[in-house]
Amino acid sequence: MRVLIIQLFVNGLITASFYALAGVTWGVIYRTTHIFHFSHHLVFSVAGYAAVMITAQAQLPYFFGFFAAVGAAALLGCGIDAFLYRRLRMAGATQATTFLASLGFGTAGVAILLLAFTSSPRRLVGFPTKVLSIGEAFFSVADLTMVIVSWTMIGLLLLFLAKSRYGKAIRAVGSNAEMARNVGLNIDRLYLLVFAIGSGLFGAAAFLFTAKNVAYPTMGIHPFFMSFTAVFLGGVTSMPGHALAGFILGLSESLGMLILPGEYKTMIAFAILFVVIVIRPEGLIGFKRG
Amino acid sequence: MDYVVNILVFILIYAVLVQSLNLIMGYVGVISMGHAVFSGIGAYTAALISVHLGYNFLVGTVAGFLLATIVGALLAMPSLRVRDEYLIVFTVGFQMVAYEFMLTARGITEGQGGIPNIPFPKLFGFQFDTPFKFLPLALVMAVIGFAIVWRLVRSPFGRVLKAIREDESACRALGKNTLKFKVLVFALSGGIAAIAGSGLAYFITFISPVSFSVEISIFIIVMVILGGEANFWGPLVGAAILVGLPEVLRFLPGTAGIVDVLREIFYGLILVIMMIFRPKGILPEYAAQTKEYQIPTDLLMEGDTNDAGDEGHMSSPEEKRLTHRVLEIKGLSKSFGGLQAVNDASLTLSSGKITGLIGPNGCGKTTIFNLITGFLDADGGKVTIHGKEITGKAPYKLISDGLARSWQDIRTFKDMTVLDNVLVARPKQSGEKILLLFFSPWRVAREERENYRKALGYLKMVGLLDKAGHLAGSLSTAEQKLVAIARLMATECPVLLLDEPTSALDLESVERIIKLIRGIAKQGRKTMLLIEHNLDVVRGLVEEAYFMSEGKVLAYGEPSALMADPKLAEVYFGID
Repeated sequence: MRVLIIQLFVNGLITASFYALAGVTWGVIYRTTHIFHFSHHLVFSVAGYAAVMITAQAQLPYFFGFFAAVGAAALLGCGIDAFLYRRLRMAGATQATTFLASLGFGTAGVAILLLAFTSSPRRLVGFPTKVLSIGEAFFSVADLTMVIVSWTMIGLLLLFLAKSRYGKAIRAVGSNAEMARNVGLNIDRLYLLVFAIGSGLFGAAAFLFTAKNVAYPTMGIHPFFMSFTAVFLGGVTSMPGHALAGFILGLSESLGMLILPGEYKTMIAFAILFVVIVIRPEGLIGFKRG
Repeated sequence: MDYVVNILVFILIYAVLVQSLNLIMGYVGVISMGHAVFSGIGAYTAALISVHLGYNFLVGTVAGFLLATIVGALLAMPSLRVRDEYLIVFTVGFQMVAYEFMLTARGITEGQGGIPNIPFPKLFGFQFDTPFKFLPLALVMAVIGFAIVWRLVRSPFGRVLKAIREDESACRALGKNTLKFKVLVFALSGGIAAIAGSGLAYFITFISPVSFSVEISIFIIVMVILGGEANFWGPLVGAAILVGLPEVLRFLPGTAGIVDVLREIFYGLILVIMMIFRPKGILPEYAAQTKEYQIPTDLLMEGDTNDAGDEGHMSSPEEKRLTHRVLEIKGLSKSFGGLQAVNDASLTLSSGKITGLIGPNGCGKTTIFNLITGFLDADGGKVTIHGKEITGKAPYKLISDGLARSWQDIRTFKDMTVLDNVLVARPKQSGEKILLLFFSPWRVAREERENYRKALGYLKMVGLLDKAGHLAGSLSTAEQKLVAIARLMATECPVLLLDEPTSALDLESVERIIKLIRGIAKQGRKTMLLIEHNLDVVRGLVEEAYFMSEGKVLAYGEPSALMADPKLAEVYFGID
C-alpha cells in the first residue's frame, strides 16, 4: 500500500507538471485574446503526429521530432488565428461565434487525422525508454523530461510576460485591447505571437506525451480539457493560477485512483472545478473582472 | 415505405432536441456543449422506468423531463452566475463525465452494451410498435415541444431572453433578474431535450451511450447553426437536412467504411463556413429588416398630448413633503487598485428637479452611476431613496425602488425591434413568469395589450412611432438615443439617471433631446441626475449642478456660476 501511494504520488507529480504546462498554454491565449480557442486540442494531436512522422517515418533523431512538434503546433496555432479568428474579428463576430468556428475547425481537423492515419495508435521512435527510480518509485526518461521541461517553460513564460517588452504589451492587450490599440500596439501581431507561444508550448507537451504514450487522432481532447479546466479553476486572470490549478488537477487525478477506478479521471477534475466555482467564482487566485 | 417513415420519425425527434438547444443558443445566446446528455437523461430515465418498473411511457417521459430540468438548473446556476463562458466549461465537463458514467456505471446503465428491449409505448391498449404507428406519436411530441418553445419565445418572457442576449447589463438595469431567466430557461431546455431523448428510447427500444456522446452534442449545435439561430423553424430545417444527409451518403459509392469520418469533417466544416459566411443560418432570425405593427389610430393623430407618463409612483402631497429629498448619496467612495475613482462624494436630488453632474473626463461621474445602481460595490458610503437604503442592492432590484438609468454608450437591444426595446422595459409583466405564461394566458394577453399601447405612446413621445418595427441596431445614433429615452420612460421610474444623453450628436438632435428631457421633467414629474459634457446642454436643462474632479465633489451651484469660478474652469478646461 505504501509503495502504491508513493508511486501514485510520483505519477501525480508527473501528470501535474504536464497539466500545469497545458494550463498556461491555453491560459496565455485565453487571457490575452479572450477567444475560447477550442481547436487547441487539434494543435496537440497534430504536434503528436508531426513528431511521429519525423522520427518513425523520416527516421530522423528524436530531437528533430521535438522541433517538428513545436513547429507544427506553433504554425497551426498561428494559422488558425491568422486565417480564421482574424477574419471573424474583422467581421465583428461575437465570442460565441468565434467559439463555434473553433469547435468546428477542431472537429473537422481530428476527423481528417482519422482519415489520414486511421485510429490505430502510432509510436514515436528513438526517445530513450530507460526506466529510472528513486527509492521505491519508478519513472521513465520521458516522465523526468516532462517535469523538467514543463516547469522550465512555465518559468520562462512567466518571466517573459513580466519582464520583456513584448510580454508587457501582451499583458496590456489582455487587460484592455481597446486601450492597447489606442497607444499604438499592433493587436494582430501580438495575438499571433501569443498563439505561437501557447501552441508551441502545447506542441512540446504533445511531443513528450507521445514519447511516453502513443499518438492517436483524439489524443488532444483530454489534455485540452485539463488545460481549460485549469484556467478557470486557477482564475482566468492569473497565469501562476493556471499552473497551480493544473498541478492540483494532475495530483488529484493520480491520487484519486486510490479510491476511484481509473475511468473516473475526468470526474475528479470536474468535481474540483464545480466546487471551487460554487464557492469562489473568480477561481483560486483570480480576481473579479469589473 | 417504412424506411422513409423511419427517417421522418428521426427528423421529428431531432427537431425537438435541436429546438431545445436553439432556445438557449439562439434566444439567450449561451452555448451548451452537453445537450446530448440531457436527451440521454430522458432516454435512460424512460428506459429504466419502463423496463424495471413497467410503467407507462408517459410516466417515463415526465420523469426524464423533471430530472433533466433539475440537472440543468444545477449546472446553470453556478456557472452563469459568473460569465457565459463558464457554462461552456461546465457543459463540456458534464458531457465528458456523464459519458464516462454511462459507460462505467454498469449497474444502472448496463455500460457500453446499453439497455435493450424497452417496451413500445402503449396508450389505451394501442401499441405504437411500427414506424408508421409511431409517426403520429412523434408528431404529437414534436408539436408539444415546439409549442412550449413558441409560447416562451413569443412572449414577454422571450423578449427578456433576447434582451439578455443583446446586452445583459442593460437588461439588468431594466429590473430583470437575468440570472433567474437564464437558469430557468436552461433548465427547461434540458427538460425539452429529455423529452426528445425518451422519444428516441421508445422508438428504437434500445439505447446505448453512443447516442449521447460529445459528437452528438456537437451535431446538435451544427443543426442549430445550419437552420438558423433564434429562428423558430430553423431546427426543423437543420434536422431535416442533417438527419437526412447520412442516409444519402450511404448510397454514394466508395464511402462505405468512412461515412462516420466524412460526416464529422462535414459537420466541422459547416460550423466554420457558416460562422464566416452566414452566421445567421439558412433561416435568419428576421426574414425582413422591419416588422409591421398595428398602431392604434388615435396614436397616429397629430398632437403632443401624451398620457403615457401619468401613472406609476404617484405620491400624495404629504408624501411629497416628506420625501422632498428623493435620492441622497452620502460619503460614497470607490477605489480601483491604487486609483481613488470616487472619494467621499455626497449628492442630493430634490424632487421634480434635474440636477447636473459635471466635471472633466475620468473624474468619476459614471462610476458614481455604477455605484448607485449596483453595478459596482462601493467601498464606503450610503445611498438612500425616499429614506430607504439601497446601497449595494443588485441592479435589477432598483426598478422597484423607482430608480432607472441610461447609458453613455446607449446600449439599445440592437437585434430587437424598436417597439420590443421599449416593451421589455415595462415593469411587473405577468408574461415574464413561466407559470402565468402557460396557465394564465388571458391575463398575460390583456397586460400585453396595455403595455403595447403604453410603449407606442412613449415612442410617439420621442417621435419614433414610424420606426416601431425597425431593428434598433439599424437606426442612427441619434435615434437610438431616443429609443433609450423611451425605454427609460417605459420603466415608469420617478428617479432617472441620465448618462450623457446628447454626446456624439449633431446640433439639431441635441436640441431635440434637450426639449424632450425638459418636457419629461415637467410633465412626468421626474427627478433626474444628468451627467453631461456639453455645457450648453447643462445650462439649458439644469438649475443646479455638482462639480466633480478626481473623484471628489468640489462644488454645487448654478452651472453658469460654477463655470464662472476661475478655479473650476481651469480644472474643467485645464490641460493636464
